[in-house]
Amino acid sequence: MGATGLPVVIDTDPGIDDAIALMLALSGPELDVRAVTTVGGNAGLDRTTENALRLLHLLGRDDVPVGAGADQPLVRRDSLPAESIHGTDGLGGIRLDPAPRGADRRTAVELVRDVVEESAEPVTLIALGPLTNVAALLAASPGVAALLGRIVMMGGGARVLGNMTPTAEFNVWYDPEAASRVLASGVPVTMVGLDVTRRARTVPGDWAALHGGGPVARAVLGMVEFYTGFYRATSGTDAIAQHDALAVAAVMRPGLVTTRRLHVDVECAGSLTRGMTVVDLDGVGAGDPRTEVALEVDEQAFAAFLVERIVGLDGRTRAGQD
Amino acid sequence: MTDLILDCDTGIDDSLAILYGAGNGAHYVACTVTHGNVPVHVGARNTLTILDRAGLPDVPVHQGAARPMAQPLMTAEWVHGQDGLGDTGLTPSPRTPAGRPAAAEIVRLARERPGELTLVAVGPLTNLGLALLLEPRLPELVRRVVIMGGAAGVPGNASETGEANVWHDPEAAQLVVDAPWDVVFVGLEITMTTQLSRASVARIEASEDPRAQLVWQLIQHYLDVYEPILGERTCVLHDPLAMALALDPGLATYRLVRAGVELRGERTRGQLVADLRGFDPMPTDPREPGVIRIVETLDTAEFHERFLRALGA
Repeated sequence: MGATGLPVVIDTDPGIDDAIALMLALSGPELDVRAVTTVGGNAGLDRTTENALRLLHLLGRDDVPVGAGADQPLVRRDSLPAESIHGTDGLGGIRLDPAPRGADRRTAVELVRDVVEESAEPVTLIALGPLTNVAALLAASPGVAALLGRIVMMGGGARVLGNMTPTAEFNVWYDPEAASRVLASGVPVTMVGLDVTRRARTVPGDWAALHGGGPVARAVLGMVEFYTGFYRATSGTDAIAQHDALAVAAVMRPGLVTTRRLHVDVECAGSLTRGMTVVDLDGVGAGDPRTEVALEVDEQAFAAFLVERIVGLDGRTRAGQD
Repeated sequence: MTDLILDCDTGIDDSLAILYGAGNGAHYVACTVTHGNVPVHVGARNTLTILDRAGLPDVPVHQGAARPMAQPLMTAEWVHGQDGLGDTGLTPSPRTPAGRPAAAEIVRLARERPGELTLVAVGPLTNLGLALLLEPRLPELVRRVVIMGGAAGVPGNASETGEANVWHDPEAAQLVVDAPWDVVFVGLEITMTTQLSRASVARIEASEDPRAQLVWQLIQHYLDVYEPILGERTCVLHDPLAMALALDPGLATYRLVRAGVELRGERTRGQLVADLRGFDPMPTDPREPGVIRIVETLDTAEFHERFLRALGA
């Protein structure tokens, strides 16, 4: 598998929805995941790196290199992990078997650089966490960044602005300066933000087929239960947003989201709006529209696609297809 | 009749709001004028002119703040015309504004008639902010407050995120948000849904009522501005909606939200930030400082009908 898939690197901070997104990315032939890089966000870097290694081991993919990246945002000093959503360990207390290996000796930036330079085709960078590593790559190796096919980021919002604050989505809030750098870099960016990810929901019943399943099924059920508890407490709903999985799905099945090319900047100074993506929906400003902003999603097709792929993972792993 | 003070920056849609009120039970105790769409002396003259044409030549008009509290004056002649009334050569009123400044008059009237007056503000909130500074008890002295302002969860019109009235004086808007009163912010999220149908526009054009004919004359410039935005030759009714909800709150349903005005942003100064996340605990007391009402649903058909009826169209 992989030889015919789109070459991608996934930068992530698992994170429950990151874990499900990673599972989705490795669930079929669409993507050739050349590396996973980790960043501090939903949990600290040590946790997100360990979680990435264990998740890949669970999925039988110890062959995918994991490069640890930044633990701290570029500038912001008051960012905190989202422990109420993901648990102190990042995976809602679900214990996964340790991986037989550690992280790659290369840092996240070095690993992405090598993957991009060694690839015959442009590599797509899927960023599911704060954009610190991506901004560091742009700063350290602008020539390499320019070779990227595109960056697909989960973050921000156009009309649905915030979850961390009233106006800021978690990933952009966590490192606004990094997001600002990435959006201004000139590398093509697709922004998969709260407008669509809040609608990319699953309910506990969607996962009925996982009961009595293998180790992947047990892990998913445990994480979903923890994540659902957070939604129930804060919003009174059992429907959970699969933010990161939608960003991955948008690469695997581009038709699932509809985008518009708009100017997007990040507010880095405001007292109420720091970390807000400023999306010029009506062309009021003078900025160059160059970010593809996802505004619509086929939510039913997404949920069906996600559940079908996740449910199939145990069989896929057992059959040794990887 | 509803006794009210209208604070305005007349302005084309301010004119429509005055006419809406005149035809739907507003008794204007006074009109107070702020900078905003046009400089304040132009707005004051226009307010007098429209009141005269609405058959209300006895309503006193008090000129108020000439500029925002903390930023330079910006006006919007591109929307309202150089004269603020669509440059149609309307003869100005021979009247002059009354002596007392707007904020002082708002305070005086509120003290004189505690609990009786409805305050409607359809311009930048400088006069209201000043009145709150002069009389901290103002929130207990007025009956209701309805503001045209903000853009909750939708783009702005003065900047990417800023609605004009809040954006023109963010500090004053913050004073209004923080005051312990039950205040409705009628924002772009609802006013941009009030587009008149072509049939309604045609009714105004066809009417022989002098009020409809005045409006038809006034809105040509406004239609020019809105045609490329809306895709047909019509317009939305920002200020009239605030007036409508001051007179008939039941035309809409409302939602309490926590809010604040961004005062420091590089890209977002002047944005009315409303917490729309729906996380518990939701606010329950409209008088809690920092809690405002925004409009959730509107009976648009009834609003339009009352608008047209007020014009005799």
